[in-house]
Amino acid sequence: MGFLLQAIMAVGVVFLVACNTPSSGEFVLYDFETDEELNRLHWHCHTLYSLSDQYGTHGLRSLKMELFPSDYPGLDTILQDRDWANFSFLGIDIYNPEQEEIVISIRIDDKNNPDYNDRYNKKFFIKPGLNRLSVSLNRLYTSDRTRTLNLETIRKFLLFIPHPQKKVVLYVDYIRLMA
Amino acid sequence: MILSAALIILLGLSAYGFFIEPYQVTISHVWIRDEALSTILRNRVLVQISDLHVSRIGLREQKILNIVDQLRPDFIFLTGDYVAWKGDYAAALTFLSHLEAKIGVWAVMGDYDYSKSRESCLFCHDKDSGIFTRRHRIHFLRNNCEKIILDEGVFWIGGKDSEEHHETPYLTELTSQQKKIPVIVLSHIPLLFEQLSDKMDVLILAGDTHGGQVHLPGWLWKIMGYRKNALYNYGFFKRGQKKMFVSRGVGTSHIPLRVCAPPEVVVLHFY
Repeated sequence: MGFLLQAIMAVGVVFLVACNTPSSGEFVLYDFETDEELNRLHWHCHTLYSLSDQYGTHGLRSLKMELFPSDYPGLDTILQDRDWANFSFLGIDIYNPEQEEIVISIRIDDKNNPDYNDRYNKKFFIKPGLNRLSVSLNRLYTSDRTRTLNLETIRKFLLFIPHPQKKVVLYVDYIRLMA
Repeated sequence: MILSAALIILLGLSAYGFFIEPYQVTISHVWIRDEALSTILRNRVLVQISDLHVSRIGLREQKILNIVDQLRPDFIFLTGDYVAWKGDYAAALTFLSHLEAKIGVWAVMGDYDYSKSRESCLFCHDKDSGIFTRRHRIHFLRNNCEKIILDEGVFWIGGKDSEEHHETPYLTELTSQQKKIPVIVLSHIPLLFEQLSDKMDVLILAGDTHGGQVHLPGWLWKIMGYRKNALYNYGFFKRGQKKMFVSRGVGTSHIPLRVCAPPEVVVLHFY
């Protein structure tokens, strides 16, 4: 019985590792299935994170973000995997439950505390309903267009709404790197 | 013989540093010349407590609470680092819930308080909620300020948050627009002193250095790469209009040792 249990666990571990290796062409950074994943986010004032059973696109759950009026409320990740060089795209699924389009910004840093011009910044229009964003990693230019980001040293990835005037709710799921 | 004597001295010093001095909480009376603050606060009791690093309510924490009770402060200013690195936030919150002052308690957070990002929210909110906590009555200042209106006059208390390293424009604005209103700024890190203009008439209360925990000369801190200790290890600093007091704090980090840098509860006096 004990042997059988161990064998099942071993298969499970192999399966999980196989799902998350670059060779499979996809690496899931966050799929927001467990409470532990909320510990891998930076928590700031005016942003409230919780796991939701609604709008999950990978697994059963998604991240519900309640963004309150302030400067830049949003998702601030604590990255464990900082070498993105083997991948071509960053994928993010965002569900907008509102009736109107929302503008979000994505910021990616390849060094600590870079100036605005020395990091990737881009706006995305999030339509009502499900939005599947795909950011090409081969064209991650800094805002001053003088260089592309070093994908081997990604430090930060943020997704936020600049200066919302009212509370905004977004559901985020399946943040992944794709070959 | 000499070796044995040296060994005995070293053992004695270690025993003192680990088991005696960290628990010898002293009251430090600090006198600061500031005419404007003196006019408003000369008859008030202002207490600064820094770098608690609470992991449980033990002997040291109980002593601090007793001292605060005896002092019956009008104001308590807390300058960050309430928890141990990635430690237990519950003990720190319990300690904070016991702090009371007649007018109020104001605080900023230190880098250790952000060591568990999600838990850091507990200083202001109920768990995983936007509801403000009722566990304590402390005003946490996160790059903002509050105007304090007393019968004797008005002053500002501002707070520089440890997490946002470059956001001080509100302080500049505060001191330039309110030239006649004194400003006290709470900052965990003493290096804020260098970020503010010499023309700013402001008093910074800071901590973070622990007075080194072991009293060493500045040049030694510099060699070891501890710039904040090399420049602002402990005490009062003034450059131009700006002033700063750096407390040794009460707790310890890295090594639970203090030698010639006893924990202190600071009582501020203005003249």
